[in-house]
Amino acid sequence: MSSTLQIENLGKVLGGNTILDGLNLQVEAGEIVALLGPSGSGKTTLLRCISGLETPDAGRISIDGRPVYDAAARVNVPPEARKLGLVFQSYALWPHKTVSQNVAFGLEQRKEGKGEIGRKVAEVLEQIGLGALGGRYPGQLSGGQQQRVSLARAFVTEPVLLLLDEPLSNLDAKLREHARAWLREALKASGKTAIFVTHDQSEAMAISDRVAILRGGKLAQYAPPEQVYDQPNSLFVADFIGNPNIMDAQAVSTEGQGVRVQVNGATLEGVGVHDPELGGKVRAVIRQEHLELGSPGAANTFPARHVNSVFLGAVWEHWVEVGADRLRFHSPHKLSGEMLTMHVPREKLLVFH
Amino acid sequence: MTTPPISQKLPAQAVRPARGPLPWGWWLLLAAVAVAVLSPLLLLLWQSFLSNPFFAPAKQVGVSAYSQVLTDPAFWRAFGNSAVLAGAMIFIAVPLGAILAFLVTKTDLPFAKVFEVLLLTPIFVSPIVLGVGFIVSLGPSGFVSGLFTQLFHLASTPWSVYTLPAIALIAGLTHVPYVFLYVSTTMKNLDASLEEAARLSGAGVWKVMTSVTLPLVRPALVYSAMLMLLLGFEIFGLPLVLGDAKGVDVITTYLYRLTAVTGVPAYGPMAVVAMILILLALLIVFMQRALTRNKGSYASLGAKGYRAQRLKLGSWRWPLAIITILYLLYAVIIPMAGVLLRSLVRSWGPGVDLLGALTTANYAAILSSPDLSRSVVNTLVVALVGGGVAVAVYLLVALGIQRAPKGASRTLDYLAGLPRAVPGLIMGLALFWLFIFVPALKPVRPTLISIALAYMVVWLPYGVRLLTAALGQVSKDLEEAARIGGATATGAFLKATLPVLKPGLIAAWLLIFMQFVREYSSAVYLLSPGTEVLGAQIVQLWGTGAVDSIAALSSLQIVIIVAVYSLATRFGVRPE
Repeated sequence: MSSTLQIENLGKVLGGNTILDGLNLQVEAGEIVALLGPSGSGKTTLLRCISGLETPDAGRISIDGRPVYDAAARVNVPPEARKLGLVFQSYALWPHKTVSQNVAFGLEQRKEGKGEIGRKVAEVLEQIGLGALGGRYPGQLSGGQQQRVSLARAFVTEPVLLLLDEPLSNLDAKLREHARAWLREALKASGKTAIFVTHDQSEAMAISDRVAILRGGKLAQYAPPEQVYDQPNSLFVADFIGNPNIMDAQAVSTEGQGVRVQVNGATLEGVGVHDPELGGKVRAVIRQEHLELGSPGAANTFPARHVNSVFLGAVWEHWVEVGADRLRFHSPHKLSGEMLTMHVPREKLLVFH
Repeated sequence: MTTPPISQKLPAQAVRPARGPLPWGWWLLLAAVAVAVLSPLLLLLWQSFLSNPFFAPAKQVGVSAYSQVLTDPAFWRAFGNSAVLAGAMIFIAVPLGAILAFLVTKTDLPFAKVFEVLLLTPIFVSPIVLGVGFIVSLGPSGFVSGLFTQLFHLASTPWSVYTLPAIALIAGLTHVPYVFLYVSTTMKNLDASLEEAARLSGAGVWKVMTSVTLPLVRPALVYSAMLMLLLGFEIFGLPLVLGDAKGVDVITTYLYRLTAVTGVPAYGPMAVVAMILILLALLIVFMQRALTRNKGSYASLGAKGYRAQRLKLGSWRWPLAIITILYLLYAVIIPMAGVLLRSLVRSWGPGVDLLGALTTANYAAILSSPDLSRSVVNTLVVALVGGGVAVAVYLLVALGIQRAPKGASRTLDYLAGLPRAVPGLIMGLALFWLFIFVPALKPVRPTLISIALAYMVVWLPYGVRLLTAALGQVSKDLEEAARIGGATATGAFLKATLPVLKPGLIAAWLLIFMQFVREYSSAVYLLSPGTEVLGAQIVQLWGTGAVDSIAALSSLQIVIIVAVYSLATRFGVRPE
């Protein structure tokens, strides 16, 4: 059973910079995968290489077992023959064609019968909730409607793989939250395999089955959203997802997956899954929602100096100082006092080099 | 499971940029453009080293033609006159154009919108028509001169349009629109907050202009000055018409007369003068690029969402408006009105009752003369059909520059810009010789195709620039979406990009139409029975002194261009 998409050792150099560096990725049928990463990480380049709009310099890309790009075997199937769907960030709806004509284009290229085309187009527009708008021009639609037409156009040819380039970034903030849920529903209902590029972490985690975090042209971590969030495999991933607290600490001893560190004179127990044999200076990561006030003398607590409190409406955000680092946490109450005792559960204190 | 197992079969490959084969289509285009642009020039170069015409059986290779020209005092006189004209154009047109640009775009000058349109008109009127216009209005028997002498009871006007200073002044004033166009476009893109900051610090209008606006558009001013320098040496129609009476020659008219004088075309010397002009022009274009390359643009696009308040001129409003009107009167309105008036009268000169002499006989004469009426029809055909074909060719070249691999794209870019350095007169001459030189092209010479080809090559840089701008407006996404949908590369261009490009294509075609109608110097040597076109015909008629026909033909040219110009502005087309 071959995966829907298999990428092996993909490489791409652009203008002297190595954008993709020996990248490997596998996507199974029906999965939704998010390509997430900082700008310059290569995620859009990767998507365009899969689509055929850009040609890699090394490696192999296979779709449904069939190689569409193979550097060694000199295979490079042009984009029109790859039978994919691509939703552009700008939607790329042809302004001189109506909505129906836009959606029908792919079917016309496949030389399907006029009746068939009409039927399929009407059906998919109905599914997407735009049944009455077939005769309109893209310029007459709202942003959200244009996005759905773009999606319909990609769906209608029943592609093996659906690619989406920042599908929600052109929508305003409020619409985006609704669209997130709607997009996942629509994709799951159709059963399509989909890969989308985004720089928005919440979008990535909300819509996808697995998140692929790219860094410097390589995969940093490729796992379901909960795993990437709770069990990041490196300091980079831990820092990239969310806005966690990071502080310096001194590693004292390790015991299997556990590690003991010294912070501000106190000894804490944490987990250092991915960096065994830790010693010396380390970085300890605590997500804001896991850092809380504790009772002096209790397990896994350390002292911190209260420096600032900010009222955010729903909660108070408190800033504390530990050595040279500043940490923050939320609480419904105002706080007073200079020295505080902070507590973090053992499994939520992540330790990296 | 966090990372998939790495395939054992595929060894890790060194990552190197891919180097695909060059698609043959772009090769073909590159070759075609290279041949079209370089072969006339190479022929000129070859001829300049021959003692006899290149088709003569006996000829020697040497520098005899060069020594003949370079030792001719008439040549150096002409060269000096050209330099004077160029200098006048720089020192008159650049300051005047810059100040007018500032007044029209940045201040509350009255009638600013009207001025903007009127100031650009000379760009679309043939310089030879302007020259004729100056003669019939301000010349010794001109109608303005007549009014003036009558008013002040003088024997003759204190001025003359035929002296070198007069020609230099006229050249300078009639080239203001070029500077105006370039500088005003740049000024419009300036971030208005830069000037507003100056005003808030207490600067008056003049101070704002000299301390902020003009320094910010310095690259445009330098570019315009270089352009004036180039045009100054290439100028032909104006000195041809105005320099005749007192024998004031410039390089181009010196070249032109090399033919007429001995009756036998002096091929060698003609080629030499041509080569000298081309080398000079290449030098100027090179300087222009070097001077404006790194400056880039100080113009920042800033916050364009709001409309900046125009600077108040206060008590200078109306005086400056009147000065602008006077300029327009002198440089645009009077010459053009003069031509129109001259075409409608039977006799001319001091003491003639103009109203009584009104007639349409001159136009009737054109209609009844097969040569002359043909020139009108031919011009329209060349501009319409030739212009349309030209747009298609320019589109191909623009596409090549945009999409061909780096090396081919850059070469294409340079080649497309090369005709800029060749004056129309010389390109026409070179192509005329080429048609004789290459037997395969012989049947083309007596047809309108030869004229269309000459125009196409001469206007290549202009047209490619237009089409490149139009292409730049269309998002690449549209074509990529079509390819994902299943269209081939060509199919995607035709179905997704081309329909969206249509308005840009029409705009380009309208602008090129106007230039083809106005064009005159390129067809001078290609004129033959059956291939008469308006501009070149006027040049030829000038030699015979048939001012009646010249005035009528010139008026027709003006009318056609004005009609198309107003049509074009209705489409929102701006001259580039």
